[in-house]
Amino acid sequence: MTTKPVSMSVVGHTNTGKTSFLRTLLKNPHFGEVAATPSTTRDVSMAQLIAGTEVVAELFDTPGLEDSQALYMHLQQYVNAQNKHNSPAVLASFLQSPQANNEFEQEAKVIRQLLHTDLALFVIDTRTPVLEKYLDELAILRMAAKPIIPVLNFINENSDLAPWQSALARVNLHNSVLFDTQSTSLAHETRLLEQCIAAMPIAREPLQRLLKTRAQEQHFKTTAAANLLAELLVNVGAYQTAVRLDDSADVAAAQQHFKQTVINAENKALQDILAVFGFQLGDARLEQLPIENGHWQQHSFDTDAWRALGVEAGTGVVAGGTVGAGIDLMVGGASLGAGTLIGAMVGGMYQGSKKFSRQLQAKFSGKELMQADQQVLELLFKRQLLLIQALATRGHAAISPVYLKLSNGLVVDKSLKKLLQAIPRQVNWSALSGAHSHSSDRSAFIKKLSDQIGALIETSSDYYLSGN
Amino acid sequence: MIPLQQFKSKFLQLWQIELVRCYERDQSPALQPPYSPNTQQPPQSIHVQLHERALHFLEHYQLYHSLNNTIKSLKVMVFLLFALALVVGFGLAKVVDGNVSRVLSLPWVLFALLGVHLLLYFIWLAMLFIKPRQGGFIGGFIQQGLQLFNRTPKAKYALQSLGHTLNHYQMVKLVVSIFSHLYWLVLLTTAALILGLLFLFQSYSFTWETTVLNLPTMTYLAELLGRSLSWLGLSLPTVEVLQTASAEQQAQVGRWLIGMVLVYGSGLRLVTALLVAGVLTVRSKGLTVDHTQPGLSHLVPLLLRSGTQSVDKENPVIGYNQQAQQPASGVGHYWLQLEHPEAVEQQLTANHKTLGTLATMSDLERLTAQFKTQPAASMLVTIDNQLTPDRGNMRLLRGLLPLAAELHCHLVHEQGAFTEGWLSVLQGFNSEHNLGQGMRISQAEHTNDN
Ligand SMILES: Nc1nc2c(ncn2[C@@H]2O[C@H](COP(=O)(O)OP(=O)(O)O)[C@@H](O)[C@H]2O)c(=O)[nH]1
Ligand SMILES: [Mg+2]
Repeated sequence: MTTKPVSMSVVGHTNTGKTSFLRTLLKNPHFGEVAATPSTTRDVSMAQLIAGTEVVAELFDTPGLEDSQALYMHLQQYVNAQNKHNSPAVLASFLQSPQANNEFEQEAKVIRQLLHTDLALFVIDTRTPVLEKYLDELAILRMAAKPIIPVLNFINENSDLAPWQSALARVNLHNSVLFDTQSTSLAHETRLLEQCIAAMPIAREPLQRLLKTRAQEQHFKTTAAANLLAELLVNVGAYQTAVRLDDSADVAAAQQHFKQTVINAENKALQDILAVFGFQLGDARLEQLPIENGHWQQHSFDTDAWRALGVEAGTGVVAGGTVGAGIDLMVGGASLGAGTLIGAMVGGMYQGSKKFSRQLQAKFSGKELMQADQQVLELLFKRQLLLIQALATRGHAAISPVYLKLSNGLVVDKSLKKLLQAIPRQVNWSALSGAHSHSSDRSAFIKKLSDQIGALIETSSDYYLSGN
Repeated sequence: MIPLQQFKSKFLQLWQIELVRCYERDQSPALQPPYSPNTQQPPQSIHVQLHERALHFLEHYQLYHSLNNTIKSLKVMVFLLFALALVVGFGLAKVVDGNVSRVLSLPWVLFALLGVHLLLYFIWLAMLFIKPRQGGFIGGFIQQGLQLFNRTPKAKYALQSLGHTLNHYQMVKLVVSIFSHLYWLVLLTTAALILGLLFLFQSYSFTWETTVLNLPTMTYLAELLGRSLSWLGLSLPTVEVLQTASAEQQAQVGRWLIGMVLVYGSGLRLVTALLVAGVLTVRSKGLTVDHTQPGLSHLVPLLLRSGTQSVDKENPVIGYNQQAQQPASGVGHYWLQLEHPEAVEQQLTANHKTLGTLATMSDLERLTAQFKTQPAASMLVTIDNQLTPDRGNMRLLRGLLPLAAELHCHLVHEQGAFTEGWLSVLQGFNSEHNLGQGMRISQAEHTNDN
């Protein structure tokens, strides 16, 4: 376990996405600086890949090679009779020269780093033609005599990788891997690490441990996000407020308060879900979602929003009536049913006094109860699920907005629908009403719901589109 | 109970993490002080990291006090439980003093001493294999009990998190088992001791008495009972012997009785308690925080994120500045393409003689040779703004400066990934060399991008 970490230098031309590559690999959208101007990264910086408590690899982000043609010519003057078959020695004597601190300062940093590391990841912008300068670059890098793994970036459906692949093959590099910095994919990561193992068999075990950890982390994210969503649905679905019907000001205020509470809950869940995937609100560019200036809008109660997600407006919607869309009013306890009332009583007593059955309290004080409609739950469910699916594959260097396939009739299947319908009956389950019961019934229900959601996340095949 | 130590500390950690989680979920404290996770080497497990964070925030939210109070209350409760066990054990031993004659029915005494204990023990055994439907019940019960001791608002978080931790990590059964076995251990051991004292200072006689059983059955039963301790060297006189027993034989029965309580009472409980403790110890080895829970999961990526370290700091390049002068005038208009051929608008290059592609240093040498003596009036350089500017292609552009009185740089794509980059680099180039009117920058307006 105490083997030295594998050190890898990420090298390549400027603006080929080296820093972006590292952001995605490290799942850290704040690593380094990324910009479409040259020489954005000026220092060499290091971050680690960790499996459990073991540092498996150290990754070095280097400034881009920019002036490789001139450098390549310049390097020829260090070749002499002693070192003509020892190219690392040639590079070493270049590093001693004044030019290494001056004209080729940036390139010298790359070379110095490379000579200290175990292998090089050579990032390529596959959109560019194979220019001579890139070949010069590659020739210089090869002089360090380190294993090189070409990483083909900027790939999409129409990428023609053949020119680069054959150019690489001509210098005996047949081990290139595809890696899209805009999306994360365990498959791409696995292939990359497999190539690293092939280039450095001595590090096989730690790298395989790393692979295993990555898979576990992926699973963790799915589970955690599904948990958050299940928790949100239970909290919102079981949430109730009492309102005095004959007082219209009270109704309006209660309605407003109800909506705000639900919105806050969704907002919090959203931020937590983003964080689970390693993003913050600003990183993810959720332009489709009703967030303005960092404030979540009252979108969940908007029938247009439902329609966009294929949620049917039910009978609970009274347009322009006393009750706002999406809030169900349980007049006279009629929609509660006797069973629920008894359940609430028992639950209330078990919980010990204070929260003693809001229903009954409300009923005796002449108030009615508000609760969210199924439509609201369904909207929350679909929207967050689509978001989770999009985030699950979003690269941490992604620059395009998150794209949710809103209208594409995500169908809530029967068993899930049944679970959603069961929530409003469990009036003691909502943390929004200040319930703290960690009853095992609630936990068991949440587990069941979250398992189903987790399965939906993991099986969705075409979940993600990275913009345009 | 040393193996339990490990469990205790693990459990306390989980409880502390849970306490902070409950508090944060409930209060969603708006003002969270920045918490910078420890990125020291070697990296810590997520359990350790979450625990460190929890300790930090326990302090910050001032929850330590209520946590400690709850622990104190728990200890008091355990103490009371054991005190109760002592009292009940004492009482239990007094069954032998039930009647003044001190003639005791052996089966009855045996049943009175061990009956309830064995019954509950078997119920406990059966419960082991039944999945609890309402597992929160015991937790809820404990919670209510503890609430009596602690009434501060923050105490409720301590209790809530205790119950939740026990439930979530499925330890209610084990912990309750340990305590109930220890309770019985204390109770029965007390009973056995008291029994010993009573037997020591008072004389009793034992009989086999029954109303419903016939003699052979009883004899058989007595034999069976007698054998149950024979492996310890303690034997029970047979039924007939007991009818006409001497003092010595009565004493033998007394010893046997105490032996029964110690072995099938205390001993059984002790062994079971040790077994459960063993299970707990094994369990606590693999016990780590469930970081998929809401309220913890969002912290995980940040806590696990590797720190960044700057290795080769930038040291500003001093004095590297190659000035190049443009000639005042020249002859002819020329066009060349930077780095690689790319389609351009016809009319743009209409009056230009083409010089091909400028991609390498040798291209530049060729051009320098051609224009050194007779510079051009203007050179149009078409640039593919889908490729990045870099010091290499800027070096090529700089090489063109002495060769033409005017340099016209044209970006050939209306939209290109690096348009912004090119514009700023070219403007910088212009001012660096004081080109003024000697340089023009333009960009395609309608391109046929394909
Ligand atoms: N569309 C797209 N843009 C990318 C990709 N990788 C990097 N970029 C962008 O390319 C530019 C340069 O990326 P950067 O990571 O700074 O490159 P570096 O100079 O090699 O570190 C940035 O604007 C990135 O957002 C990619 O795979 N697809
Ligand atoms: Mg960079």
